[in-house]
Amino acid sequence: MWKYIGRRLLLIIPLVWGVVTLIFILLELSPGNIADKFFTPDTTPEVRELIIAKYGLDQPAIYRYFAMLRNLAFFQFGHSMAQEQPVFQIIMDALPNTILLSVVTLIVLYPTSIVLGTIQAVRHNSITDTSISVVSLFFYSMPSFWLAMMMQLLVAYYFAGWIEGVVADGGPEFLANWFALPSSGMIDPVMYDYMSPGEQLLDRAKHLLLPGIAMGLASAAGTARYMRSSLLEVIRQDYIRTARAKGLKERTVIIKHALRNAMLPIVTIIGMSVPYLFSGAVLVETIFAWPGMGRLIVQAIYEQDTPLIIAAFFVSTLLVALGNLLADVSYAFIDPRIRYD
Amino acid sequence: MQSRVLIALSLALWASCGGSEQSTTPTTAPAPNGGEAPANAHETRDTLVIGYPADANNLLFVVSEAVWDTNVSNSLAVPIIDSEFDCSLKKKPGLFKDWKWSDDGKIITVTMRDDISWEDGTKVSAQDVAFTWDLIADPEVASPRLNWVERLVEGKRPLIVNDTTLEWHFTEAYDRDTQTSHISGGVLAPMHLLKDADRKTLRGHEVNAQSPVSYGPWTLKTWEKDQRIVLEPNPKFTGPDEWRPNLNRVVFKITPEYQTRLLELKKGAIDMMDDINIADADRLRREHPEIRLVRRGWRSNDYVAWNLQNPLFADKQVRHALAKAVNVDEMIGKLLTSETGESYAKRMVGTITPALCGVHNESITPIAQNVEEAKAMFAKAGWTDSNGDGILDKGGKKFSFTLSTNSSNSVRVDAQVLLQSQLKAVGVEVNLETLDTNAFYDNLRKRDFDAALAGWSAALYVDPTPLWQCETEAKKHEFNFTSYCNEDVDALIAKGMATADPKEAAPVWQELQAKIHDDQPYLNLWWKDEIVGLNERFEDYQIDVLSAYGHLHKWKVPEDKVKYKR
Repeated sequence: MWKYIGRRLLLIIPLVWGVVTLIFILLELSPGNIADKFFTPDTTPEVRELIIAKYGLDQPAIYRYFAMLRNLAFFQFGHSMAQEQPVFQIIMDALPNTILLSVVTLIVLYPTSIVLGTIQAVRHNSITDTSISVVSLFFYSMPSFWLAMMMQLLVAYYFAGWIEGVVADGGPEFLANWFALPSSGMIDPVMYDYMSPGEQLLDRAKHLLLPGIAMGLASAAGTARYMRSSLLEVIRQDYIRTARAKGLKERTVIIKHALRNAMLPIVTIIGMSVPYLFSGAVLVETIFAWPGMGRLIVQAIYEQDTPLIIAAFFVSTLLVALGNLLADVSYAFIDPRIRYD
Repeated sequence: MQSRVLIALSLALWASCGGSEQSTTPTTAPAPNGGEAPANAHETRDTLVIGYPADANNLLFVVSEAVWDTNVSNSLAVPIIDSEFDCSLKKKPGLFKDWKWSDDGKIITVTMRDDISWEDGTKVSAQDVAFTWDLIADPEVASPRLNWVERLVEGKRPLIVNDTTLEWHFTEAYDRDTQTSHISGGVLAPMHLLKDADRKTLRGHEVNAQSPVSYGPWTLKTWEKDQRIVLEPNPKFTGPDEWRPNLNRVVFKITPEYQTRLLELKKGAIDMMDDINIADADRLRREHPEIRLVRRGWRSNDYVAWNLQNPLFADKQVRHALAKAVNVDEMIGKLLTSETGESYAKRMVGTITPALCGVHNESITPIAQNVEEAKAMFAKAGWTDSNGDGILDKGGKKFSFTLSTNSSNSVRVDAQVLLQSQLKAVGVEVNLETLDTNAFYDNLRKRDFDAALAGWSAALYVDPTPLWQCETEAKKHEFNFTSYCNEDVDALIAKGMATADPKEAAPVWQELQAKIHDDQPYLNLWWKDEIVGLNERFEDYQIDVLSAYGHLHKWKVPEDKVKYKR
């Protein structure tokens, strides 16, 4: 097992090298550079040259490429050109926010998909199965950014507005405190500073809910389909028939015997969903003004902030590769038949 | 087990926002009279929440480049010379109490206020001014404002006479509005905190990028990257009482997505946003009477630049024919007019904004559409449809070109289609190209285009040099996209720039506009208004051509309309 993990970890090196090289080439091929944002009709050519030299953009691309590889090898990300802050610090500020959002997304995604998929498989070909399929396909077909915008409109605008109306008409205040969800950001920008610690926690949780659901719901719908077909396959196996023949309760058969084996493909999907959580986060984070890695990457690309873009992709690639490795390793724990040499 | 997971999640939730917070609590310092400046001497109430499209990067003016930076940094300072806009920039005393020119117009002597202090108690002095301009002039700093010192005499930019008196020595006298903008636009850098800083990495210095020190009416209370910037009244402010804020706080809520900002404006989660689309303004007017819509007049223009290096556009007659083929009024009606018939644009005749009413040439009549005349002019220039395919040709070459624009501007993308259809009616084939903004402007600077639908933001003082002066080997003008060159225009630019009195320069600039209009290097389209949405509870706001966030200290809310009690 440890040998396998070691081999997989070594394979991450060429993967990361390939990704950063590709990104570097794409950035070199794209027109303009970060110095362009300083240029107005009032900017003299001398200033232009000074600024280009200041960012080292007057150096040949090949020199900058090898300098970049050398720095990345020692995990030195340098300074952001736009913010002039250490890139490491900028990423460390954004990464926990994305991880937090991803954790909430996974919490929405997996229990929902496992429960729905199991209900569908157990009630195969029933009205319940068909109804859940239709609803799942509806959410599955929906782009996450559109779902995000619709949730903002329906939940954070109309529903929250209605609740606030009820409270204004003398309804209990807790309704607004608990159920009027905010449309963007991580905290209430005005009142947060005046809240008690408990209220601050509730405020943060409320701000997490909509982006977490927007990211998790579409994936949950897709994963529920996998769960359904996987479980259907498992419950037709001989050992399930044996379990039933022993007189076990149907619930015990499904939960104890079938579910564990049916979960195996779902673990694969967990590993594969890590890249989705990062790519999906780009749009959802922008719409919900969530200051995470996705928004950071979009902003860095707009500003052509090369060190920040490279470092952000470097970190994302590492996380994706480690996520996949984790999924592969977890097979062995779920299914004792699987052994890695 | 479950409770442990919940506790861990709760802690993560709580910790997640703390990483980037820069909560700046200024150290207490005695006020000039020896005691603490009374924080509550001036009554304040309510909070203004601004939906802000991007976070600030750097709050040190000499190195900041984005409007998102300067909107915030300006609030942390007393303006060096204050200004109002009424047909032209009207200069008013700020940190500089008064300023006067020498007879030859080459020296400006200024007297500074002596009662302004940084919030750490250090006096703002002439040394801070000289230090700031020294930073601007230093190539190591690479300030985007280096052109401000181009015409200042080295060693006297400025010359410190005493703690509150300075002399600015210019190598030549030029337009006084431009001259004063070169010595007064901006915010000072604190010499006592930055004098030993490494100038090469000044942009990343903690004092600039994270916790700037104020000498203005506001202080930076909190800056959570990509989330919010919170300003509060500066309790150490030592300036005049009329500069003390009336609001408790100003919160810049960073919300990059336009639709999210709009939804939050309607919901009341934010009080203000700028750059509202005309269609959305119509809906707001109908459904949200609590939102006041304010126009910022003629801030930016759109035009079609003809690449004069392309033989297709070399003939002035052809450019006039193209202008006559286009119905700009119809385009304004379709693209920039509200459903109530209110137009948010004015026909453009040149690159000097109509907001500069004494300088803008009102006597130039925009070219009106006349398809028959356009066809006749094309025929006179040798362009006819000889093969009957509906497209003009000359010497076997079709009148066909590519019209490029940047994809991020929806009005331009729509205008492109209308132009294509209108020019088709006179036999001109237009191929459309929409490019990423960086690629688009890169092509313009390299002159790698046929025709480009682009635009400028209005400059509030006149310097046509970068756009219209002939380019030479010695003097490159990369923003003269069309490669326009006219010796008469060059002579007028030289004359206008050398005229110190703006009133005397105005006729020169009007003649220049007429000459350029006659040459038609641009197909002039329109000057646009920007629409700002502001909750109606705010009074004494200043939203004008200068800024959407002007003089924030004056904004106030009547007692009976306060929304945020704390």
